[in-house]
Amino acid sequence: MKNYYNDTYIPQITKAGKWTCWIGAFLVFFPALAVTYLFNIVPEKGPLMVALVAQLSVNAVWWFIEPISFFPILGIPGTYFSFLSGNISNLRIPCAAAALKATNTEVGSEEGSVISTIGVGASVFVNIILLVVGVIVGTKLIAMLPKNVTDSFSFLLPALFGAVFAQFSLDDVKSGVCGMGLGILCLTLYNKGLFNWLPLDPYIINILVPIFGTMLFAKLTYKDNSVDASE
Amino acid sequence: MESYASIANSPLLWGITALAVGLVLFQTIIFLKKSFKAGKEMGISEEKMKTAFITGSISSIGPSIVIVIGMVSLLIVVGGPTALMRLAYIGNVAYELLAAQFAADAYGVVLTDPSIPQGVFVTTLWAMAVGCIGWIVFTALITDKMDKFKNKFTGGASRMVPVISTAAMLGAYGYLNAGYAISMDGKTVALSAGFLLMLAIMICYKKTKKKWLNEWGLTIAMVGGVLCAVLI
Repeated sequence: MKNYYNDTYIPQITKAGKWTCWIGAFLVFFPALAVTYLFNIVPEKGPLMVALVAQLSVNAVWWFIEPISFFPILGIPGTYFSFLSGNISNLRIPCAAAALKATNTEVGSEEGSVISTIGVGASVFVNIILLVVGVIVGTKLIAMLPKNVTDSFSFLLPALFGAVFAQFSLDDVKSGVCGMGLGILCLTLYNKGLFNWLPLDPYIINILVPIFGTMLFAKLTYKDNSVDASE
Repeated sequence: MESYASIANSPLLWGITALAVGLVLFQTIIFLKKSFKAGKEMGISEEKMKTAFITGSISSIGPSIVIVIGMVSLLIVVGGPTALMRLAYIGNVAYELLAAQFAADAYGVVLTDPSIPQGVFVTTLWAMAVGCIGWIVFTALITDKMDKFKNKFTGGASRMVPVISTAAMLGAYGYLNAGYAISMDGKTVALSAGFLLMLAIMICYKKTKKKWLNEWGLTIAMVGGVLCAVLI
């Protein structure tokens, strides 16, 4: 049973995940290449460099931080999957989490990795269908909605994040308190400018410390439990 | 020379978008097929996998609406195909809008200006592509190696993996929630209400074992959280 996961499933997923990601990496440039070379709209070098440097200075750090930070949650299949389809914290992880909870499966286990991949897969279909509908009628539909409805859109994400947090904090209340506490503490200190001495983007402290801090906290408290049990 | 809008919505760009969306769908079908097969081999019941699929579908409706709303603001700036491609594929709405902003700034124009130069559009496209290339390349290079790191962290104790993964999840959402928690406005209400509603739903489920509570739970908590924030 265990062997199929490690010997067949993961190698197959890794292979398929790798080549789809590499094709994805090339495809990303197609719109820019097409407009530059086929429509002959060549960007001016000066402004292009300014825009690229500005974009990279905001993004580049996250290329490394996000895959590493979300890996313990997503696992191998989920990581390939989520980084090709995008929208990770606001769509893929909530769907993976809901699928795990609905089937009573442990996150991070082998079974959990299969179940969450199925949950994320289902989300890809629904998301693409809604995006296609949105691109066709979205502009008109949103213009038709009354203002108090459009105002309430900004509450969707916090409500979703609160609900996802609740799903997991019941499993481990102490880690929940630790994660939330570290999140708030880091952000407060960051807002006070206490991390400005850090190189790169000091904002990364706000994601790294809560995730790895809570993991470490769980590891330490877990060890204590097992020692208690053996005594 | 063709107008900016006709290029931004040209069949060629729609074709490229179709390719990108096709690649995502293709990957999804491969991964789902392999996962269902692996689940069968590992002895996961069909019922369970079905529930996972249905729950994943239902739960993605709410978050997808958030993304669609983001796409509409992007659509106005870069046209339909690019907006769709950037949000069905690698992207993240915040960074994509930023790319358009940086390009406009670099040319010293305002994004909403109707006579915006075409150079801004092509610069935006380049900034979007270069801006997100690292995620996919890093993912392709490093993902299979990260499992070893995870095993090291848990010291090979496989029973500890779910505990650590749950902690990672709580830490990640601790980070995502922090901004809303300290803003002390409607978003704080939405966050707390979503949290409390989900807790109530989970406790209800434990008592009644009604399956629909599990499948619809996230959506109910999300909509309820928004309603609380609007009413308070």
